[in-house]
Amino acid sequence: MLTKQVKIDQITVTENGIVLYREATSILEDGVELSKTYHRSSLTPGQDISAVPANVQAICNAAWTPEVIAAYQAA
Amino acid sequence: MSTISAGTTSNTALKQTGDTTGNLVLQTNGTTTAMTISSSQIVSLTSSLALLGSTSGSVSLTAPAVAGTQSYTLPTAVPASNGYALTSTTAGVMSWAAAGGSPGGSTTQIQYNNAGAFGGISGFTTDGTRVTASTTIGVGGATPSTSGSGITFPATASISSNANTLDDYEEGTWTPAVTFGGGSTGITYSSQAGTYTKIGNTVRLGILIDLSSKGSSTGRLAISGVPFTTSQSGTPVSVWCDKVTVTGTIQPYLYSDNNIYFLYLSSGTATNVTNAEVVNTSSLYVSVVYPTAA
Repeated sequence: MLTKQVKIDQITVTENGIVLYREATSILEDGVELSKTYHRSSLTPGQDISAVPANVQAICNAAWTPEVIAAYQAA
Repeated sequence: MSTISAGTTSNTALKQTGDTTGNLVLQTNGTTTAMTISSSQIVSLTSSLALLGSTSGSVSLTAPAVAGTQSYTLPTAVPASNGYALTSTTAGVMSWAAAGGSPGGSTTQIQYNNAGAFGGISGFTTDGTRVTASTTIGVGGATPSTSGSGITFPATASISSNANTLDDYEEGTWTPAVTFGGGSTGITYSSQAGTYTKIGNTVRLGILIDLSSKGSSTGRLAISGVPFTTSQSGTPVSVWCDKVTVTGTIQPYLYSDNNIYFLYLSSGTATNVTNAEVVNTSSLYVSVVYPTAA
């Protein structure tokens, strides 16, 4: 049976607060992966994150302190 | 009562008669059995058998202290080639065989431990000098791709400190977004696509943007959403712009804030491209190669 699996499999926070995350889409047949593709996104401190996945939002909210946002915008 | 005779007139060198067991038992010190000769077993030694060298020394065959009841049958012929090893069945019937066992699979196939036996890897062969993998290889614990041919790297790179080690490969898509002064109010696209390939610490990006409306934000033109941060802020970017009107040549740069900014020389001064130079149907086709620490 073919199944499609989509998940955020990697979230990285850079030194200046940029959040990079990767969405992996896998096609599996009886649990065996037939193909996998990636779509990457990046978010800069202070950016609107209302449309991004909840687990990415949580990372952003933790990483983006007012100081981080101010330092990024001042750079 | 037993009778031992030797050198009798019947040509018997040594014989025992009169013992109901029929065995000939030789003892040392008159009490310790050293050798028994019976009708079913020519010689039974209680110690080791020493074969004396014709000049000096000896070679001994010794049974283990707790010997059990095992029997070995010697091979029926000499080895077919030099270097053969003595093998045995579970019944102790021995024969000569090529050392190391017999290879599995077909000729040229590289061998692996197949549940304790040799097995041939059909997709991994050698001519004795070069190795050929017919499908995919996984490194760093990665499960090899079930499609195509190539090297599969771990989903999360395991970065090597060795300068000669290729430690990462990844390709995928991303979504580039146009901003003016950091805002994107009302911007829409007829095409909005990004691709990336990461090889080791080098990233290549491709961007295809066709605007259908530039919206109402104002300020300097940038492309955001870059999937990997650059470790060389100010990396020059190749671009072809359509319907972006400036006097001079546009030269974009990728900065460590993850934005690509568009500049041009105006009277010798680097000047930002802004919303004023962009129209609703402008196009930006971009390519950039840059180093990343990620």
